[in-house]
Parts: sequence; structure tokens; C-alpha cells
Amino acid sequence: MRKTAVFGMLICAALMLSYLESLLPAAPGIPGIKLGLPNLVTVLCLYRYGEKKALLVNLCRILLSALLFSGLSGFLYSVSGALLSFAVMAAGKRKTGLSIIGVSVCGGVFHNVGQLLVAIFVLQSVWIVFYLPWLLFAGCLTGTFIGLCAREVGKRLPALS
Amino acid sequence: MFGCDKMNRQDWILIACILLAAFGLALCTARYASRREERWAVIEQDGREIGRLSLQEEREFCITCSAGGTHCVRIADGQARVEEADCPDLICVHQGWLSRVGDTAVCLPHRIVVRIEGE
Repeated sequence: MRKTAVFGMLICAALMLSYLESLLPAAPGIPGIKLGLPNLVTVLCLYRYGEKKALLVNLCRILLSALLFSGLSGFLYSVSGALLSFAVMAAGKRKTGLSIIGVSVCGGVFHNVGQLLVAIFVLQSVWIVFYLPWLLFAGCLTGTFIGLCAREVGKRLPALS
Repeated sequence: MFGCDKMNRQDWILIACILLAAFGLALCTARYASRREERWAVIEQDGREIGRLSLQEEREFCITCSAGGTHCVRIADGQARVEEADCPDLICVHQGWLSRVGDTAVCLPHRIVVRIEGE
């Protein structure tokens, strides 16, 4: 019972971050660059509750945020980015000596890579690969930021369950 | 749980690698993009195309028109210009270097147009 409440709360927090992010103005020039605030919850869950639960929270958040804010096409983009990013983060945490920040950078970068792959598939155009350098750079930056946030929140958040 | 708290060496290596990859890719794509943007100097006489020269290769292209005049178009550094002409007004010569798509030099007396075309 307590567990259900805790995860409900986490999903809710991730959803609010999704919403907050949708309110922020988009970066000019390069489409698709976002801060990745919801990833904060994913990283936190990954470190606190393990892979399965983090994946569950992640998927619930994406589904709900698609229903509420972005619709089906947005869902396709975010689910592909999120799944790839999650897989890489889980592998990075398990197999390498990366700290939470390095893991989060992996997540940020591969989220962008996943979305780019879907965009190439949907638009049937390889030329958007030209965005990749910018997306990598942005992923590094936002990933570091999210990792730092997750670390600080993780230190201060009391054990919930 | 948050045992590996501080940013460690592996983190820095990871970030450095990603930034390097991004930089390398940016260089590659920029180079590729500039090569892909092929442009030509198209030379027309009496409305017919008589020459199409890539701006990539340096060369000179001379035309003798039916009226007896001559025109020489020179291509260098990705630009083209009418270098020599014996038309009375020399407007085409004074037009100078053409490089962007749509740049045009016209010689009305000899009915010659040099135009830059691209993708």
C-alpha cells in the first residue's frame, strides 16, 4: 500500500516536471533540444529502487504525459528516446564505474540519439543527421545538469519506502 | 546507494569523448555540406546555354560571339567573373565576382548572361 503511494507520487512528480518542461520555451535554432527534467525522477528511481521500478515509473510517466500534453506523435518520439536512454543508463550503472552524473549524461545523450533515429525513420530523410553534433553537445550539458540535480535531491530526500 | 557521489575520472572521460565525437561529426558534416552545395556558372548566349562550369575547378572559358566579340569567364576560389570582354559598356566585367546562387552578370550588346546556379 505504502509502495503504491510512493510510486504514485514519483510518477506524479515526473509528470509535473514533464509539464513544467513543456512550458519552457524551446531552444532557438535546433529543434528538439530540451532540458530533460523528467529524467531527474528516472535517474533517482534507478539509483534508489532499481531498474524495474525505474522503468515502470518512466513508462507510466511517458504514457500519461502523451495522453495529457503531446498526443500520439509526441509519444512515439519520447518513448523511443526514453527507452534507449533508459537501457543505456541501466547498462552504464551496472557495467561501468560511472557516477550518477556520468550515467545521467549517457541518458541525456542517448535520449537525443533515440529521438533522432525515429525522426530519420519518420521523415525518411538522412540529412537530419546534421543535427547530431548539436544534440550530442546538448545531451552532455543537460545530462550533467540533471545528474547533479539527481545527486543533490538524492542526498536530501528521506527514504520513502 | 549514492556511494559513487562525486564526478570521477570515468565521467570526465565519457564527457570528453562525447564532446570530441560531436566536434568531429560537426566538422565532417560541415565539410560534406559545403561539398554538397555544388554551384555552377551557367553561360547563356541568345537564351541558349552554351556552357556550364563547376565553381570548384579553376579555369577560363572564352566565347567568340557571332558578332565578332569575345568574352572570357574566369573561375577561381569558388567564384566566377567575366574577366575580359570587348563589348562597349563592360557592365558584365564591372559586375565583378559572382558566387551566390542567383548572382548574374549580363552583357546586353553581345546577349550573353553568366549566372550562378546551385542545388
